[in-house]
Amino acid sequence: MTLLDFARGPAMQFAIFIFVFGIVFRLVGVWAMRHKRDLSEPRQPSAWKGGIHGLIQHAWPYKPFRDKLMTDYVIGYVIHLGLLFVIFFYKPHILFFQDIFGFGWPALPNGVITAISIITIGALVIALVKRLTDPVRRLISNFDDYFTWFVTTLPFVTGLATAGNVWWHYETGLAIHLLSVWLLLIYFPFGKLMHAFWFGVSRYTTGSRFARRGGMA
Amino acid sequence: MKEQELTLGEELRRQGISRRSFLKFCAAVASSMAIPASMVPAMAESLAKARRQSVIWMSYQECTGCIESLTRSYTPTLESMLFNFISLDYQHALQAAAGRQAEDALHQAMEDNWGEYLVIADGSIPLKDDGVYSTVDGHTNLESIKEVAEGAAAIIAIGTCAAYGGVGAAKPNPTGAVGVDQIITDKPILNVPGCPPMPEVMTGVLTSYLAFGRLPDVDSKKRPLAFFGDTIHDRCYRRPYYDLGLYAKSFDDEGARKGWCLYELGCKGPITYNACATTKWNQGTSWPVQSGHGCIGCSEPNFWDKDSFYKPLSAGQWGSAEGIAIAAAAGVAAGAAAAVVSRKHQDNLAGGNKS
Amino acid sequence: MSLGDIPIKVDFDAGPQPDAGLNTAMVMALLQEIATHLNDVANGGERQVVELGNLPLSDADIVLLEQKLGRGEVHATVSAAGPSEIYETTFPGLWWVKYFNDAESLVSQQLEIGPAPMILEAHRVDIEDSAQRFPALFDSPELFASPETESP
Ligand code: SF4
Ligand code: SF4
Repeated sequence: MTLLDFARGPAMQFAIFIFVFGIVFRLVGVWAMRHKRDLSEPRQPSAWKGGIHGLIQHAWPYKPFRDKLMTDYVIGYVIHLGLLFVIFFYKPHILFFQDIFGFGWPALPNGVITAISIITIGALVIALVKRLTDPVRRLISNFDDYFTWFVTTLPFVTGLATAGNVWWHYETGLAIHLLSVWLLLIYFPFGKLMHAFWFGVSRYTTGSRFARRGGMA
Repeated sequence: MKEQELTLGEELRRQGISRRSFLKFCAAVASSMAIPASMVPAMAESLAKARRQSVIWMSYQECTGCIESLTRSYTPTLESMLFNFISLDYQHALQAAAGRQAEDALHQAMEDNWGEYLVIADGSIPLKDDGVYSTVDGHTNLESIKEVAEGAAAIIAIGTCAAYGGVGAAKPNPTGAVGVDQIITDKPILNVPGCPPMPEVMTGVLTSYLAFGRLPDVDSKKRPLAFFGDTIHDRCYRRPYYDLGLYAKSFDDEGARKGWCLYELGCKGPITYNACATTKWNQGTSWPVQSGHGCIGCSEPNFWDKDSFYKPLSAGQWGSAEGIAIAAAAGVAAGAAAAVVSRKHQDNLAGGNKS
Repeated sequence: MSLGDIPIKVDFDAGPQPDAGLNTAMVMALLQEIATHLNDVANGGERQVVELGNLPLSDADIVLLEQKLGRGEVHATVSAAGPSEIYETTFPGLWWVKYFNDAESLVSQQLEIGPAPMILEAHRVDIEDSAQRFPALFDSPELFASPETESP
C-alpha cells in the first residue's frame, strides 16, 4: 500500500470516524448537561429576539472598539471566507464531496482558488504574528491556539504545493495534503476549532439571556 | 557463434546496410528517450561497435498481451532493426522449436552466453504452495526464474505483471503472484511496466544497453527515467483545461468533444508515470487520453486495486456510509456518558441542592 | 460499482477532435531557441539538433512552423531504414529532417542547424567500404566490354 492509498483509504476513514464521533460526543455531552434554570422574572416577553440580535451584533465590532479591533475582524473574515471558498468551491474538493453525498455544485476557476489560498495563508500568518507580538494575547494563548493555527494552515500550504506540483512526486504530495486535512479533522472536535459549532450557540445564548434580564447583547 | 565475433556494424555492412541506418535508428531511439539529439552520432558509433546480444525471453503467468504489443508494433524497417542487434535465443510463443528441443535450446543459449545474456521476463510469478500454479516443462516459474537469473547479466521485467505482479496479484491474489524483483535480488533489474508496456521503451532500453553497455537510469520503482520520468498529467495536452478547471462530465458531452480534461471521469494521469502522452501508441497514432478515455494508471503497482477507474482521483475510498453512522452512534453514547458524569459533578457543586 | 456507473454513451457521428489548438507560447519559445542555435553555428559553433517529437506541439503548431520557416534550395530523400525527407528552410543552415518508417509513419522529426544534416553525410566506414569495393570496377575490365567487341 502506498502512502496515497493509505491517505485515501484507511486514514480518511479513520479521520472521518473520529471527526463525526468527536462532534456528536461534544454536542450531546454539553447539551445533556443540566442547564441552570433562570429564576429571575423575564423583563421581556420574547428573549429569543435578543438571541438573534446577539448573533448579528457580534458579527461586527462594537463601535467604541472599532479602532482597536477592526483589523482583527477583517483578518478573521478573510480567513473564514477563504476556508469556505477553497474547501467547497475547488473542483477536486467538490468531486470529493460529490463522491460522499452523491451530488455536486458549480466550482470556481482554479486560478481564483489559488489566489484565495495565497491571500488566506497571508491572513493566517498575520493573525499568528499579531498573536505572538501582542503581550496580552500571548499571555492568554495556549497550545490549543497554536496547534489550531497549525492544523488550519497546513492543509492550505500542502494543498497549494500539490496543485502547483512543487513536490518531488505529485502522488506523495497529494498524500501529504490529504493527511494534513485528516489531522485537521481529527483535532477539530477536541480543540478550539469546535468554535465552528459553538459560536452560534454561545452568541445566541448570551444574547437571549441578556435580553431576558432587560439588557442588550 | 561466428556472428557474434563480428560487430553489429560489420554484420550489417555485409547485409548492405549503411551507417545512415544506424544513425536514423539512433535518432529515433534518442528522440523517444529524450537523449539530446547531439549525442546521436556517438550513440550510433558505439552501437555499431557492439556485438549481437543474446536475449532469453521467459514467459510466466501472463496473457501474451505484452509480446503482442511489442511484436505488432514493429513496422518492417526501422524498429525491426532491433532484431538485428539481438539474438532472441528463447521465446516460447515465437520460436519454431517446441517441447524438449526448445528447452535444450534454452540451456544451450545459457551455457554459451553465461554471465552475458539478458533475460526478459513477462508475467507474474506465483509463490503460493511452492509456486505450483504455473509450470513449464515440469518446473515451476519460481524455479525457472532462479535458474535463468543466475547466469544473466541483467533482467528486464516487461509489463506490469513481471514488474509488480499485475493482474495476477490483484485482490485476492489467489496464486500469491509477485513481480521478478521480489524474488531475484542480486542482479540488475529494470522494470518496463504497462498493461501492455510501450514497445518504444523496449527498443530504447535494449539499444541503450548495447550502446552504453548498461541499463538506463531508473526511478524508485526501477523504471527507466527516460520514459517514466514524468507523469501522464505533466505531459498531457489536455492540461491547459485542467488548469482552467474545465472538465468533461461524461464521455460524450460538450466538454468531452471540446477536449476538456478527463479528471472528473476518473483520469489517473496525475499519479501515473508513463510515456503515453508524448510517445503515443501505434506508431504515434493516438493515446488513451487523446481517444477520450482517462488514464487508468496501468504502469503503477496495484493499479487494479485502486478503486474504480471512473472515480475522480480526489474522491476518497470510503466503501460505505456505515462507518459514519457507527461513529455518530458512538458519539451519542459517549456524549451521554460524559453528560452523566458532568451532571454528577454539577450536583456536587450545587451541594446536593438539586436545581 | 456496477456497469451502470460507467457514464458511457456512444455517438458515432461525433468523434472528439482534440489536439487542434495552437500553442503559440510553445512555438515562440521554439523560435527563440532556433535563433540562439543559428547564432552559435554562425559563429563557428557545432551542429545543433532540436528534436520536435518531445515538445508538446499540436499538429496546428507544426503546420504554422512549417509555414514560417518555408522551403529553401535543397530537398533530399534518403532511403536507409525506410525513407527520410530532408529539406533546407528559407534560412540556409536550418534544415528540417523527417525520419519515416516504411509505413510512411513519422518516427522522429528534427530541426538541424549546421552546414549539412548528418544523415546526408556518408560515414567514414561506408566510404572505406566503397574504397575497398571500387577497384573491382577496373580490376575486371570485362565488365566494360561492349557486346560488339566481345563477339567479333
Ligand atoms: S486528462 Fe488526465 S492527464 Fe490530462 S490533464 Fe486531465 S487529469 Fe491530467
Ligand atoms: S494512458 Fe495511462 S492507463 Fe493508458 S496506457 Fe498510458 S499509462 Fe496506461
